[in-house]
Amino acid sequence: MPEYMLRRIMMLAPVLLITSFISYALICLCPGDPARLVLEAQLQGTPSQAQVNDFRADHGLNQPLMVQYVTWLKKAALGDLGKSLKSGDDVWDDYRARFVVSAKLFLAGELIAVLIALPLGIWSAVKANSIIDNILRVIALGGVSLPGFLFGMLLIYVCAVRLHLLPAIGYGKPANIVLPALTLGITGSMSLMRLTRTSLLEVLKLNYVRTARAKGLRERPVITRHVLRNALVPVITAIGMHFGHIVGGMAIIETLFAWPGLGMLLVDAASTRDIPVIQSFVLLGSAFFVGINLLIDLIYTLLDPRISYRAKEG
Amino acid sequence: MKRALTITSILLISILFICISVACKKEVSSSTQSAPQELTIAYGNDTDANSKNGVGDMLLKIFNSDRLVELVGDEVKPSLAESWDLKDNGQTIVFHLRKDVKFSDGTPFTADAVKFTYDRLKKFKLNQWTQIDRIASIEVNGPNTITFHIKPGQEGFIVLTAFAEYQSSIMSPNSTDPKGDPGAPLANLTGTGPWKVADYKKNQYTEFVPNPYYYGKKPTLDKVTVKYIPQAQARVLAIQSGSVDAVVDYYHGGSSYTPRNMLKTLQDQGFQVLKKELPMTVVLACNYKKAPWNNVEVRQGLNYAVNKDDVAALFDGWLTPAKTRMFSDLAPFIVESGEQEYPFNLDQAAKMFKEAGLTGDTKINLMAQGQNPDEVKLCELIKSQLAKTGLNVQLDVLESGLYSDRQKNGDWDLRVYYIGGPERRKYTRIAGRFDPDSAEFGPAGYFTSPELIPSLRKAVGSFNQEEREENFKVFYNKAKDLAGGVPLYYDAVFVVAKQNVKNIEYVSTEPRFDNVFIANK
Repeated sequence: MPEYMLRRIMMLAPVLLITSFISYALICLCPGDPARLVLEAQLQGTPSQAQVNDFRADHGLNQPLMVQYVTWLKKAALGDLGKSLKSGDDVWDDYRARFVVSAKLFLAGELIAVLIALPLGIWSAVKANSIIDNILRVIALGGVSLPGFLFGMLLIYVCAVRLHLLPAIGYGKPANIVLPALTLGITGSMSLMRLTRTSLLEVLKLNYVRTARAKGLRERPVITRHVLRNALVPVITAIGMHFGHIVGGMAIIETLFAWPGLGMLLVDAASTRDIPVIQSFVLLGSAFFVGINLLIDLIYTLLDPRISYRAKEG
Repeated sequence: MKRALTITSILLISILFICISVACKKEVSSSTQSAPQELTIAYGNDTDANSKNGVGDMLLKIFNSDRLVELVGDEVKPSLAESWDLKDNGQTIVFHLRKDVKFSDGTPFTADAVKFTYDRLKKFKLNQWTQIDRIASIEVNGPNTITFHIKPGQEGFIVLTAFAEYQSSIMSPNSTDPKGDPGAPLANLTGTGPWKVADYKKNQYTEFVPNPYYYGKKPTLDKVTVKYIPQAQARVLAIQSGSVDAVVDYYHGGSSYTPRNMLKTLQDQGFQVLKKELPMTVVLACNYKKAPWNNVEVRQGLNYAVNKDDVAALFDGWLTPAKTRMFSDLAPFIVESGEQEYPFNLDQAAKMFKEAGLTGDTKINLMAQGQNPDEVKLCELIKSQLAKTGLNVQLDVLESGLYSDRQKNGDWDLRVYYIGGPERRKYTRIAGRFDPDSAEFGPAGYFTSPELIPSLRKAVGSFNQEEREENFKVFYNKAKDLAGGVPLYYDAVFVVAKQNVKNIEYVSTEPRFDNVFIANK
């Protein structure tokens, strides 16, 4: 196991190198001059050519792409992610602060998603092809098809505008998290519910389940002790993948609810081609994804003892 | 199994109930306390009160600071400077500062603070509309006197008006960390305005409380919180849900505004809708440097082809079509200049296009910025209107980077743009859009011609009001004849507020909340 972990961690370096280079090249190659776009946002007007030239010189944007990339990479390797071209803020400080904000929303949303998806998914599978199952499947299909943004608007309209139960937007008070978390949770739970059902149905067909039933075990222990552990492996993978939403995947929900997380930062940085911010997203996001994947792999071994990461012999 | 489901359901419902209870409890407790007069405003921009490389947003400057002078109508009036002397035909401006003014931290307002502010503008090259590129040097002559030396040939009335610019708002040297360093980040923005910043959370909110040292009439409210809500629809939902008391458009106009098509609905729901027209016009600009737009008759034909009533109808009639003049009444001497009209006449337009050799086979592109739905809608309408004259216009809805590239490279025919600006910028903006020698013209220019320049420079440069008036008349009429583009409608700054928010006023084109009170809260 330690060898496996070490190997995975060592693989992080080429992953980060390749993704960061690709993203750097893409930012520079896609239309839109970062100097001009950043200055337009900063000055809230159109910059003069002299200002653009000065900005390029000040930030090294007039150098060849490879020189820019290597300069950035050297600093990043030493832990200096630079400063935002637009705001001048330290990228690492900003990223860290916003990561916490996004993580709060994500965890609240994911908790709701799991609390909805797992019981309903299990129920749906156990009562497969019953009326309840059909209703739940229609709801899940509808939920998957409904964009989160639209669902969020509906929630705001009902809970905030009509019933005045909750604040529509904002951050900082406990009540502020309810609507965005419900939006994330409910929309996220639909696909998870379908996955739980499908996965459970597959396992329920296996021989060992039939054997367990034939031995006279009651249905509840069959499901909870024997079926769930195996059926949850793909569900855990999906939940793990959802963690990627923290690093920019909730941009639309964050914008709608004025939730000052990483998503809002990413949208802003992308529209102004704020290279240090975008690069940090790619770098830290990649590392985060790899870390989450590793964690999921480790959880697999807890769920299913047959899974082992020992190096192959011979 | 059933038990597990029941427990989970109860848990889920409990979480929801607790969350809702927390929210409701907070709202009830705040409404039962002895009501402090507080106002919450939704705004589409972050105020950037801790700016690392700038001076902050316009709303922030209006709340927090004052400027040396104010531009009122077509006159420059005293503000922090009680008087000024113009020497050497305006090449030297000596400001005599008020002695009774203190910053919001209790320190006295002096010439050193003025010098500090302008040093910061220079440090970050904030010469857009501040005209600091025209300033050769600044000299502090004493605690209450400061002299600006203007570069030879760069002097003029326009330079004096620029001291009323948002970014020229005076801040204390204590505003930065470390204090007194004009290149340092803003840490505690300290001005002389009616409000001071009590708390600021980047990309969340800015709290203002009355400045205890303000030399004028104290604000009536105890606190104003400006919440940053970037999404226009979310701002509307915020006021509808009661999360905010008012929604304010971007002070500059032109962006981050309440969707015009929502204003009627909000009014019908019982909200106040206040409007102030700006001396700023949304125009259809053409790439006049290349064919066929370098032909004045084609540009005139374009003016005949656009039905401005339809344009205004697109925004439910909330905006005034630019049918008779290039600018609204607030522009310098526009009323005195008479009407400069191209009546809607499709036949005339088609005839002029035909004479210029434009046919349905001529490729014309109209570019729009994809992130602005109103602009896209407007361009679709213009495209359909031009089609009636036989022109074949292709609409390119572009991402901001691509739009910027095509604009820079001149790879476009038509686009929607704006000329003029908020009142305190009206002189600098007119020069910036039409005079190729102004610092802002470059890629921000709208149209120019050697025929326009003499009258324009005298109009914005002369210290003599009559001379300015005469030259503005000539400029507007020449601009009409040359038809640089098509004026479409006059932009405006809107405020949507609950009925119990009383006394919102506009000073020039800016909404002010200094005398606001909340009734029956």
